[in-house]
Amino acid sequence: METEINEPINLIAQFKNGQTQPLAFRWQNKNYQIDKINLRYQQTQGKSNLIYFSVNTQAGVYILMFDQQGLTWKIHSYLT
Amino acid sequence: MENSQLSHVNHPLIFHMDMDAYFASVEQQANPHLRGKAIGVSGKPDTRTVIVAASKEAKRKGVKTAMTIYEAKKICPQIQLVSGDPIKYQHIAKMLVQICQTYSPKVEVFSIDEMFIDVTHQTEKYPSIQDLALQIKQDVKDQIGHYVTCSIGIAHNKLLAKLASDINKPDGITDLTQPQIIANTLAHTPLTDFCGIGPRMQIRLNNYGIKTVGELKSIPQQTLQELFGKYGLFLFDLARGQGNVEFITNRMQSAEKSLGHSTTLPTNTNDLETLHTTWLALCEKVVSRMQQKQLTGKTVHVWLRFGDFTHSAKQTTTYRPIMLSQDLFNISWPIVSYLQAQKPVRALGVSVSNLTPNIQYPLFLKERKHFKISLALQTVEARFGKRTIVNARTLNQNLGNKVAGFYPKETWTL
Repeated sequence: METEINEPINLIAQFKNGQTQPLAFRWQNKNYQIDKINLRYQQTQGKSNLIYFSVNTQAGVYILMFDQQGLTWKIHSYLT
Repeated sequence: MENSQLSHVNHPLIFHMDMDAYFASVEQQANPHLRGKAIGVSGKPDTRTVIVAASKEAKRKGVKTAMTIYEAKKICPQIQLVSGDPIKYQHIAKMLVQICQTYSPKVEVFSIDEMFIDVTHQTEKYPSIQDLALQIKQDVKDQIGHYVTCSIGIAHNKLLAKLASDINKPDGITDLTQPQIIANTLAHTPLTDFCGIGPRMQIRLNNYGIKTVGELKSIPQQTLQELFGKYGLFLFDLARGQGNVEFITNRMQSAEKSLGHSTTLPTNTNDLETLHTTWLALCEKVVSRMQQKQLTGKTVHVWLRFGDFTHSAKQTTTYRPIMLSQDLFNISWPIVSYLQAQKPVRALGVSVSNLTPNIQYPLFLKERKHFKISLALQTVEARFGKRTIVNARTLNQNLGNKVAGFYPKETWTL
């Protein structure tokens, strides 16, 4: 089941082999380390290119969203 | 291995890559909580929907595509339903095509989860054909995820390659290049397992006493042609394991012949207000896609499915091209009003064909005003995304994208 969150986050990422790899993020004063990226996919919305990452953390599985135009990160949803 | 290397020296060598339980395995890749479970990808929640794709685990319990949720839950009570996400599937499909294109410039996209790859000139670099197939499968796992698997059929033509990919599922490789293996396979394959023979054709063939490939092979070419016309030639070749080797690559894919959209209503209804709003939303959706592709059309096709699962359809052709959603609505709504009077409506759809890329600036003032508004809306959508500005009447009618098996050409812009 997917629970929508849609909140901005601060995130540390690395750019490797032409790909963006989120490593850790901070949300609601808590740090989350990303253990694994399960899937990445993207969509265009107007002029924005949104990249989605399904990631595993100790706290659970989240979908993160990167807006390439605005250079902003959000927690899109939580998966159970 | 050596034999399979030698056998294709003078023949084309074609792979058919068929994703295993595609939509479901993409969902399981995205959400580890779903792995190992019987899941069914369906339409939006709280709508009347069917199973669009079943996971490998659900398939083992007997769940099949197009089953109603009720039927699926009856045979597999533990099935977990997941709302389909076309964006995900379209993007992964684009990645799959890119993987195939690293192996051959000749790739034909057959549907969103199936492609043919002509590897005739690619085998020298690999110890065997199977090694090449294994490498493609490994690339899919590495680049997309280990839960997304495919089955590959290997043959000298597309017909047998497609048949082969279905033999060893999931995550299998089947080589149908050896004459003896081809003969054995053909002898044991039901007619409807061949791409191009559907249930209706099976009935026609059965009526002529043809129930197996062997019986089909015994019919002379001339007789088949007399009975089935050009299709008879296809049947004649099929019985001998021969088939098409021509590739329709992305650049060669024919232009769109029609554009349409349909929806199933939450409940069967005769309520004109509900039908009116839904119909307007459908017309907006279709015209938005026409505008995106810079097409206009002249023929409008309307269909309704009623509560008792009967259909009614009608089409009309206009003298001037349809460019605006209001045009499409004005032409098609009288047909809907006429057809719906029969029984409560379950689902409805509209499509426009006779498409041409000629967009003309309207002559009359009122139409010109609507045309300018439409252009302004397109500019807003191009910048901020779809449904940034919507008709107040269709505000709560977000029809969304359909989870369908067709490879969406527009995903090339992703």
